[in-house]
Amino acid sequence: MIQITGLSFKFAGTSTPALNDINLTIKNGDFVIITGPSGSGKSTLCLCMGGFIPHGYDGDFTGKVMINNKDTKEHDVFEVAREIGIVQQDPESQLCTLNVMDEVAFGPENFLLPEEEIAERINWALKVVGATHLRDREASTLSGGEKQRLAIASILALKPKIIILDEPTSQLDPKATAQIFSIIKNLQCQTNITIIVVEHKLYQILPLSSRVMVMDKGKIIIDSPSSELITYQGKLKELGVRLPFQRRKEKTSALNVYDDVETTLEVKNLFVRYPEGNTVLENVTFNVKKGEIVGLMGDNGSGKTTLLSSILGLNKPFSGCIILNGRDATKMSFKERSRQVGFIFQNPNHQIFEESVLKETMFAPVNFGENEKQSEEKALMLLSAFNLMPYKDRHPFGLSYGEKRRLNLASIFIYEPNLLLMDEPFVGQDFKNVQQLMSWTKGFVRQGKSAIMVIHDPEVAGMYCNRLIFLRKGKIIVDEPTERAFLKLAELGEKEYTPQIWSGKHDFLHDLQ
Amino acid sequence: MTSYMTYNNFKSAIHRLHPLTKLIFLIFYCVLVLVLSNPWFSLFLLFVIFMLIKLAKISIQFFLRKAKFILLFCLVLFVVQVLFTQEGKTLFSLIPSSMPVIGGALPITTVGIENGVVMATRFLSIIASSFLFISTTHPNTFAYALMQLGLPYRYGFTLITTLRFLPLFGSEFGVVRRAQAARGMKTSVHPKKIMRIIRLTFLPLLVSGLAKVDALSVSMEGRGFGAYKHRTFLRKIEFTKKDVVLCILIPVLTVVIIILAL
Repeated sequence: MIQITGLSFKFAGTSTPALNDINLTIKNGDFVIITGPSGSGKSTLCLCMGGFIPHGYDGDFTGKVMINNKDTKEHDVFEVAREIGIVQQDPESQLCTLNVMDEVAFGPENFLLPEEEIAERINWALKVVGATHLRDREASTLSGGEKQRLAIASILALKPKIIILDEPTSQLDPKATAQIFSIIKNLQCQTNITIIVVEHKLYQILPLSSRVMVMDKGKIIIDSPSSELITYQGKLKELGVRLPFQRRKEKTSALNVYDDVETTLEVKNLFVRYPEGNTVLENVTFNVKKGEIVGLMGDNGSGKTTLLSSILGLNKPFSGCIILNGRDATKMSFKERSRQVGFIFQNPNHQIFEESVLKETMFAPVNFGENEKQSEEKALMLLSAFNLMPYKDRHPFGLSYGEKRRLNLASIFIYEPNLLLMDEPFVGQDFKNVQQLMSWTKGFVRQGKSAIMVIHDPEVAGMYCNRLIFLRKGKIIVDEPTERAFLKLAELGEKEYTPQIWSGKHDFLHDLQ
Repeated sequence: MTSYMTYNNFKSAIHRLHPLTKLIFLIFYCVLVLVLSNPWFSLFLLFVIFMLIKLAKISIQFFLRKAKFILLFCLVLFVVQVLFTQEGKTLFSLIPSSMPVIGGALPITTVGIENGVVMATRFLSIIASSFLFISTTHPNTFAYALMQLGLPYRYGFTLITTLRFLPLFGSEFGVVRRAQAARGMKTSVHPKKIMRIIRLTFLPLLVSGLAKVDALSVSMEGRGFGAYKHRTFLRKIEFTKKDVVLCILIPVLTVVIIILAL
């Protein structure tokens, strides 16, 4: 049982509390979902339940957290860890050994369990997550989904009474996501473990859960049985929490595109091979018209990022043709080409280099050798348009995720490229940030430009993309206007890539006719 | 990026030895190489290590290809020794004595050749033996073996997590460089700009590194890392009879050889 009374926490060096007077009780065997906007304190709450706060982080801690009658303040983290285990977002950084077996054994070994029991637990935990066949693999050879399953197994091997999964699927593709959710379902059926899941995507797990808590600004503002969540619809919409039963009428709100419009990009017969010889992209051909937002979908490893990199010219095509605004891109200098194409990387931190927000915005024009005075004027204009003016002289790394994304856009919009490429820009983001980023993107394509984005979330794709391109093992298997693309994907058995709110597929078919 | 010299997975008798046995061999072998200054001994020791590399199912050509620059350096060592050693019997002079003034300079002497051979083979032997150790001992096995022999497990896991995260940082480094290129930063390194490039690259890596460290420490502490002074090890690194014999034999043999040679 978890009992939290009057819990507040403020990280050292910050002015607003991350958690503000939290009171809650979670009974044994419950299945609780915690949701809410990014930065609302969900992960901080998890760290408090695991005892990492106050032990591992500096700050002001008040209140009381009791995990199965152990006060986290008076017990060491490892004492609390016997009761509660946390699976985190990033599958990469929570694995600490090199082999699957070593990883699952890691916890039980630290707790000095006898060898036979550790061996038994490894078998059991790997079986629960459906990873018995991975037992002898090296961790570095696993896919993201497999790594996350391993992370869950290595927590389960400790046989905790409570397991917290903090956005376990945010970095995974839809197929791996579905697998993780079915593992969670198995856990619920086969064990009496208490499950707490922090999640933005409610539609798959809401039916499993008994209770939903919604956080905002460090407080729990809604605490409701799952079946009654619908009564808070208005409030949730205000927060930007997407509900599974919310039907969106504004399906494709991007611009209508007509056939006679000019193209921004033509890709013809593109082949890309790795130096080792395996083909990543095979005979890829498609056009992107002015005013279009094209969604690029496919499993991780199907070649989406390679395709975007090839368009910009970061990796050389093995053969094929790329035409940007009517000109052969392979004959342009890289400088010329990079001025035409803006690239948003998956992790905003990987593309912020400078020491102030203003300098960061001016980074590209300075590199392109443009007039500094003019660039600065332009940068200031963009910063005020993106509501970043107050931070102009601050270090960018202090910004929130949403602000960093806006800064990424500003620092690309400043050199006015014609094509915007985005590689999974929404990883781990709440719906409000998604909406914000997309409204900027729509504004961008309205100026007669185009955007291609790698996207995993079918609902967001349905809302904003004119067209979807689906890659399977380096080949385009679907290239259709969004709604028709979903139909085709459903036919091809890629149901994880079609919107859940539309399934009840009859309904969806009806809508089309 | 191609790895320079790393573990390979051929399963040979040498691969199967306990890492400690191989470490002991490496240490005593290097001592021998450094102590003995007879060119014939040096060549013999080099021959021994080449045989062992062969026994480990690695082709000598593969090693020599990997060690191209080291071979070049050995050659330079040899040439320098031969040219600038004056002691010993002069075989001939590079500049014939019939030439006026500088005639007879740069004599090639027996001692010069001997020293050259010793220096060059010493260097090559040490590199080759290290290569043998690295390519037949998985660092993970090595770390677990040391921990089971009493190395505090905190140190052992420092090594293991480093091995786990190094490739990650490598690939993130690639992403950051690509992101810089995408916004027009020149990839060629101008000496004047190098500090700027380092700063602009280091910062994003540091930020994402710190986030990783946070997640890693939650993950490790949350699984009882550091709770007790000792821990169980499921992965057993076998110390066989062969290992016992070798661990005794190698030091004894080394001492005997040194006594005889001196």
